[in-house]
Amino acid sequence: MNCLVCRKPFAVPWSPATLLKRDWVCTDCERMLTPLKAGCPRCGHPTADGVTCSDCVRWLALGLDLTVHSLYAYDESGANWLHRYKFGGDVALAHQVQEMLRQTREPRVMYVPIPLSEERLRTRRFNQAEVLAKMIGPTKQVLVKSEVSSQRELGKEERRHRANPFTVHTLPHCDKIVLVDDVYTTGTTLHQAALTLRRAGVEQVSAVCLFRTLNKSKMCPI
Amino acid sequence: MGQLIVSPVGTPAIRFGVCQRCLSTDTRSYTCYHGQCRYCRNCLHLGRVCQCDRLTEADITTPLAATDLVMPFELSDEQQHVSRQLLAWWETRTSGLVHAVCGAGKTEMTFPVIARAVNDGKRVLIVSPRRDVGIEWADRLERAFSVPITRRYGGGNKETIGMITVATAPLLVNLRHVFDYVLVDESDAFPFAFDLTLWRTLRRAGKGLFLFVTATPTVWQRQFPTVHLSRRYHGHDLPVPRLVRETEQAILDFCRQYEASPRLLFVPTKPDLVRYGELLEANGFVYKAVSAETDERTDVLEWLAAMNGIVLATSIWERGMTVTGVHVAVLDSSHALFSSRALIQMAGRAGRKPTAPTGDVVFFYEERTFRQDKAIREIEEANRR
Repeated sequence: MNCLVCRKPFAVPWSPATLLKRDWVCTDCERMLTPLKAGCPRCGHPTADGVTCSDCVRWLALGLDLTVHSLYAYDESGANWLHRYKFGGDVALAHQVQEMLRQTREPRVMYVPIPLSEERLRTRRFNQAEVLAKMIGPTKQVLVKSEVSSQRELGKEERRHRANPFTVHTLPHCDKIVLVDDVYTTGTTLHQAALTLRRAGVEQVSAVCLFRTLNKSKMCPI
Repeated sequence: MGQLIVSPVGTPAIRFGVCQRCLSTDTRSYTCYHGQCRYCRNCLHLGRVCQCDRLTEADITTPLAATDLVMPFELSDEQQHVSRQLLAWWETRTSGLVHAVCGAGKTEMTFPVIARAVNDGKRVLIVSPRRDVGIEWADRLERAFSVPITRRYGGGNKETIGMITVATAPLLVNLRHVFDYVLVDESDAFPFAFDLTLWRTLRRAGKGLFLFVTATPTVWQRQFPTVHLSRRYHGHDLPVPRLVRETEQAILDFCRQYEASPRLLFVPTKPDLVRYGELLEANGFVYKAVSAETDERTDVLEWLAAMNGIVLATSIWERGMTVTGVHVAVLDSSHALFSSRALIQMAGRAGRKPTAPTGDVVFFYEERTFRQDKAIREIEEANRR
């Protein structure tokens, strides 16, 4: 069997599951991504004995309460992985994190991916968050995003003070909405999307995020 | 005719789950912006193609150019005979095989026919099995030819097509019927020998005229008209391997015996690099290990030549490298990975320079195999011819 990520052949342990599972990842590639252990209860950033991190304190001071379930640390190998997946367009890589995503599944919940703008979707061909959301559970495209420039080069403060690009398209009938995104850096995107949903009348909103960027200033190595 | 590019018109990039660029079936379905679609995972490095993309062949934009040839040295009589034969094959558009022993000066023998083809306004491709070999080819060609040499391998210019192109096979997948003359160097080496798709890639990149250049042709290659050259260019015999029973003492003795010259020890697998490395280290030898994962292979090569050191190498170095006055040992030569062809190539690393025309070659064995015997027999046969 060839590894999904590095495409090199490796031995798969024989079991009936061997016949059922298609995408196998070798142990070296499996180890590349570092799962986040217990940390900040609001965003998953590693903190000393589970205290709320200072970023989240600032969000709470603004009156925005959103619990984000982050799965992996956005370190160097994580960034490489995401680059291959998102910009290289290797969609099948998402199967590597499928099991971790599945574990976050809850009953009677609609998973809403963070949308891409129309033009961005045309050039990238797929919505990276939508692929992840489909791996967790029932998905519906609720939000619509207007065209704004990329956030990649912006600093923390600039990101926070951007106008909300999201609008609600149609609301689904469900108890709770879980937003799905690929990276949580400052949290602006997810908080803006959550705010839009709350204003439209959704009561319970939370979020699942694949990667959480680690703040370098706070000395908490994993 | 030309390079496949994604464009609004043309043939679909993926048909029936087969990528039309690399002919791989490793295509995966996903949700494209318009719905269900497929993309190819095998040729992602050339830019992703999706089922909704279309491929067309772009015209070659580089102009035809004539070239001057400055031979680095005068060919010997035997080499000239081969080179005349190659020219005759080029005139009649015949594919052929040059069966020349290791260190016969194969590179330079092909220069006249390359120059003739280029001056006829045809494009020439030189395919090498590895990037290291490709770099060496390109450097030597650059010194002899006045036209620019296109380097189409990882780290070189992957996009262009020149009059003379040096390439590794994976970067040829998006070319269709471009090259009038394809010279396949060491065509029985690792990537070609096991990968039929690479061979198909090569066949599509060329126009059907091939020249195989190797010291150890496969049975399939022997079907082509063959020209033999069984003498090295300095006229000395090939060093015949000795068979020595493998003990730790014997290996250490070999290393001590040639203290004043570079020593190259081949091992079959990567774990063996560590195993034999520990043995050498415990006995106070300084060595370097070379495998496919070593990044600075040329640095190690320079170190080996300059410092008279010891290098443990996997079969990555079995071809296309030259060290003056090197002594070669093949450790665990009965290993199944060492085919008779690999053994011949490794033995051919010794005595390639006229200043040091001989060198010791030792096959250390735990059991005797037919592969070892065949290698030794073929080397002796070439010496007799």
